[in-house]
This record gives sequence, C-alpha cells and structure tokens, in this order.
Amino acid sequence: MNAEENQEGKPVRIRVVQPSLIVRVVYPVVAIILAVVAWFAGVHYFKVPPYIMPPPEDVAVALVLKFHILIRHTEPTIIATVTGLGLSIALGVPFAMLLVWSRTIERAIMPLLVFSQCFPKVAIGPILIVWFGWGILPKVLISFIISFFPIVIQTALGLKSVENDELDLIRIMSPSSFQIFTKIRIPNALPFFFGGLKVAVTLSLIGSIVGEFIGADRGLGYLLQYANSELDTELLFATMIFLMVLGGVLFLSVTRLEKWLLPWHVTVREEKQGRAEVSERAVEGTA
Amino acid sequence: MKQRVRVGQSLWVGVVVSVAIWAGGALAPAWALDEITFRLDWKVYGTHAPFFIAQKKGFYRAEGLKAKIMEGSGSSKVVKIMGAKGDTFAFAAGTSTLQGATRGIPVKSVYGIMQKSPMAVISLKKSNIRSPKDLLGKTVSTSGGGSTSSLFYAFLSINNVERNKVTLAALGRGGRKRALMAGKVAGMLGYSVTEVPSLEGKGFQVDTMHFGDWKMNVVANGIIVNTATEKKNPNLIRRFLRAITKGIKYAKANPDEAVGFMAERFPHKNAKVLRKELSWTFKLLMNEATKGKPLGWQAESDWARTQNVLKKNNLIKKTMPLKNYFTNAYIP
Repeated sequence: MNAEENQEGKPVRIRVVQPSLIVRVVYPVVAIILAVVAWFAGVHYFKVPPYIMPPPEDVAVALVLKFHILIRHTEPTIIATVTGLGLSIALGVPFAMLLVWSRTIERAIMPLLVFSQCFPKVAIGPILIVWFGWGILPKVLISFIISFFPIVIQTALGLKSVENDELDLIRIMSPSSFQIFTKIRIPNALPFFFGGLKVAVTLSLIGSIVGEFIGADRGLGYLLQYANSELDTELLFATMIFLMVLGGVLFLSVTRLEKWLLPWHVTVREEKQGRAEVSERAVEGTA
Repeated sequence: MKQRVRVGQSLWVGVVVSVAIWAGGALAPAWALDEITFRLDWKVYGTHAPFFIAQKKGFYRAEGLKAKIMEGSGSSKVVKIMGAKGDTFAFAAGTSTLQGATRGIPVKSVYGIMQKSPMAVISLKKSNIRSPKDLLGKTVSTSGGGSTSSLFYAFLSINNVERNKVTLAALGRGGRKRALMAGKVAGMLGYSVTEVPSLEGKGFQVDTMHFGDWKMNVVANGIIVNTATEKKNPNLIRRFLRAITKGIKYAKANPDEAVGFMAERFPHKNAKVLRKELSWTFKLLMNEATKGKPLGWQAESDWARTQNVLKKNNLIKKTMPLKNYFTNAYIP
C-alpha cells in the first residue's frame, strides 16, 4: 500500500513524528537517577562495607575533590587510545582491501589473523612492556592489537558484500577494476566499516587501560590499579565513572561521524525522519 | 697610521673572542646536569620518602644529576626493564634481582635500603595467627604475582608446614586485602611496610608474621643498576648513591618534612599513611649483619642465605658466585 494514499486511493496527510529532544534526554537521565537511587538504598539497607562498595554520595565527593587528579590522568589514556585506534584504521583498512583484492593472500593470511585473535591480549602486554619500556608506546601497541581485528573483518566484509545486480549494472559501462573498487565497493563498505569502528573504539580504550595496568606511572588504568591496591574504593569508582564517560564520548563521536558521512544509509535515515504516522483523519482535498 | 690601529684592534677583538669561546667551552660541563631516571618498585609509599626529599633539598643537583623519579609496576618487571636499559637506577626487591641475574639479566644491586625483608603474613588480631603452624588448614590471600607469593611456599617448608595443607587464593592487590578485612581468609601475603599502615588506617588491628622472623630472612629492597652502567660510568653510581645517602639521613632527621613533600607531589596519597610507612621502614633498615656498617652496605651472608633459600625451593635454576648479585664498591 502506498503510504501517501489510503485504501480508496484518496490522499492522506502524513504526520512525521520525531522523538522530541526532551524525550531523548529525559528518559536516559531518569534511568540513571533510578540506578543511583537503587545503589544508595542497597548500600545503606544492606550495610555494605565501604571498602566493598562505597555509597554514591562518597563517590560523588571523590569525583569533585579529586577531579584535577582524574583529568590529569585522562590525558595519557586518551592519547594512547586514539593513537592505537588511528593506527588500527590506518593499517586495518588497507589490509582489508588487500584481502579482498587477492584471494591468494586472503587464503594465506586469514587463518593466521584468526589464530592471532584467540589469545588474550593481556598475555602479550608484559612482553611489550619489557621490549618497549614504561612509556606510551606499549599502550598504543596493545590498543592497536586489540582494535585491529574488528576493523579488518568488518571492512573486508563490506568490500565483498556488493549485490551482484549492482556489479552487473556497472559492468555495462565497462569500468576498470579500480573504478569498481572506488565507486561501488568502498561506498558499500562504509556502513560495515563504521560498525567495526564502533566495536574497535571501545576495545582500543580497554587496550590502553590494560597496558596501564601492566606497567605505567600515569593514566586512568594506573589510577585504577593504585586506588584498588590502596583500598581507596571511592577513587576506584570515580575513576570507573570517568572511564565510562570517556568511552561514551568516544562512541558518540563515531556515531556522529557516521551520521555526517552516511546520511543516505537506512539506519541514519530512519532516525532522522522518525516514524511516519498516517493520519486518516487529516484528509485534504477530495472526500 | 689608521690602518695599523685597525689591525691592532681586530687582533685584540680576535683574542678576546677566542678566550671567551674557550672559557665558555670549559665552563659549560660544570653547568650541565647528567639526566638520570630512577624507577621505584611499585607506586609510591613511605619508604621512598628519602629519594624525594633528596630531590627537594637539591642533593642530586649537588652531584651534578637531574633525577627523574618514577613509579614502577612490581620488582620483577622493574628488573626486566632495567636489564633492557629502560632506566638508569631502580629500587627493587633483592629476590627479584637475584632471580633476574641467574636468568642472565644484566643487573646488580649497589645499595641496600631495607636489610630485613618486609614480606609477611598479615592477619587480623582476632584470628590468632602467631606462627606458621597456625596456618594449617587455612586460606591465605595473595596478589597473584609478586615475589612474596612465590616465596610463601618456601616459608612454609622451612617451618615444616606441609604446603598442600595451606590454600593460597590469588585475589589481586586490592582483593587480597578486602578478603582479609571481610574475614574471608585467615591471612594475607604482602609487604608489612605498606599493608599494615593501610589496614590500621582503616581501623583494623593486625598481627604481622615477617618471613625474616621465621628463618627466612631474604635480601629486601635495594638500588640496582644495569651492569653496563658499572662498566661505562661507575662514577655516576657513586654520585647517585652519595645523594641517596644524604636523602636517607635527612629523612631520618626530618621525617615529617620528607613525608610532606611526597604528599604534595602525589596528592592522591594519604600523608598520615605515608608517615607510618616511613617509620616502619626505619625500623627495618638495619639488621644484625649490617650494624656498625655504613648506610647501604650489603652483607654477603644475606645474599648467600637468599641464594640458598631460592635454590632449595626451586625458585632459581642455578647458583652463581655472589659477586654477580651485589657490590658495595660504590657506597659512600
């Protein structure tokens, strides 16, 4: 049925309803407030010792009093995360293109790539720290190693997932392989790439934190380790909240970038346009 | 006439400039400081106060050194990275240094800070754990890695406690303490100097069973270098250790000032806890074998005993002449 005509073929007005800004902000804020209230009630009702789980008001105090410390340690973590992620994009995308371009290379390299992902990256961390020292390089490398795989796999999938109809159509115009690649495969791969990027961005943050756990004197991971061993559980929770916010900001940045670059994609379009409500009562013109 | 005067003037200017350049060249090294890094064994605790007060009082600068003191992540990592020349000096556990040396890591201890090891089993007073035999059938929490955990079984066997009758639970550095505080374990393994002040600060009364009081006094923390530094620049070691000795003496005489400076540099650390940790360190500083000797002096008997304990308990695969592990040659 055509959305613009009702069953009798008469035109109807379509009212587009977008979720209002208030709804988009209020609902999650209310959910967070409820969670904090549950935390407060649980800790006080069950008399949980503060070194196991501190009450939210103590964590809030720690967040405020130690804000300058948290900010100072956020910088090295962000730098390691973004650099590791940048490296995995810069190397991962061309690598994915290589895998799609040559079946031989794909057959040779793919099993190795899969095996390399099967061991926990935490195991390689100490080795990297001994090789490269205490600085930022080992954290960048761990962050890169962890986030490389999703980018390669998703990008390769996207480059390969082109409809045969599309290929048949463009072949009418006798394009070169390069043109097929740039005009069909790459735009087709972009949504897949962003899917992989969303996974990779959270993984790269985990990677730099893991690196800081193993050997660091700065960063949010270092602060977590310090707070844990000193039993400063309020600082521990405050640091975790900081990390969650940081992860959230990074993820949102990727979704923002996706909306900007892929306005034509169905997932982005549906969000912008909202749900279309067909109102049969608002009929214009003829009855 | 004028030309001769001009030549004379030029010559004179030339001489003055040459002297200035030569003087500048001769004096410049006196102004330039040698940059060094000093890696601590773990995150800062009170024992490190002498190292930092030496910075504040300019003791390093007086020796022509610019010292950057940084936190580490455990003695075994510190030893490995020192072997890879990642730092100039480091503060690490003697057991890790010995183990590293037997594995071919080119490190050596040049100064002993704590002669009695702070490794201990710490328990809540109400548990009445007063001797190793009291641990039979009980569970002890540990961080998982670290020198203390691997030496625990050696501690048990030296005291004739069957190792399979005591359970070790690896719970991480924070978890081991939480388990003790919640009464889930009979004791925890750790460094007394950091754990006891921390637990007492949270209001818990504890008993401490030092390995050293139970026939297992192994070499504790000291300053290590890469053996290449010994060969290339032994004077650098002498200068650094002079500054360190001054720092220790100053911290002993002015503990509150020493701790105050540390608390400023590391605002996330509690100054009261730092102060307790420092007092605890001074209690452990000298033991029988080093009494009457200069600060930093290491006793061969301590290193020999450590090597025996580690070898007997299969924590090292081979033994080496003791001079591979330590030297007192650079102590002021």
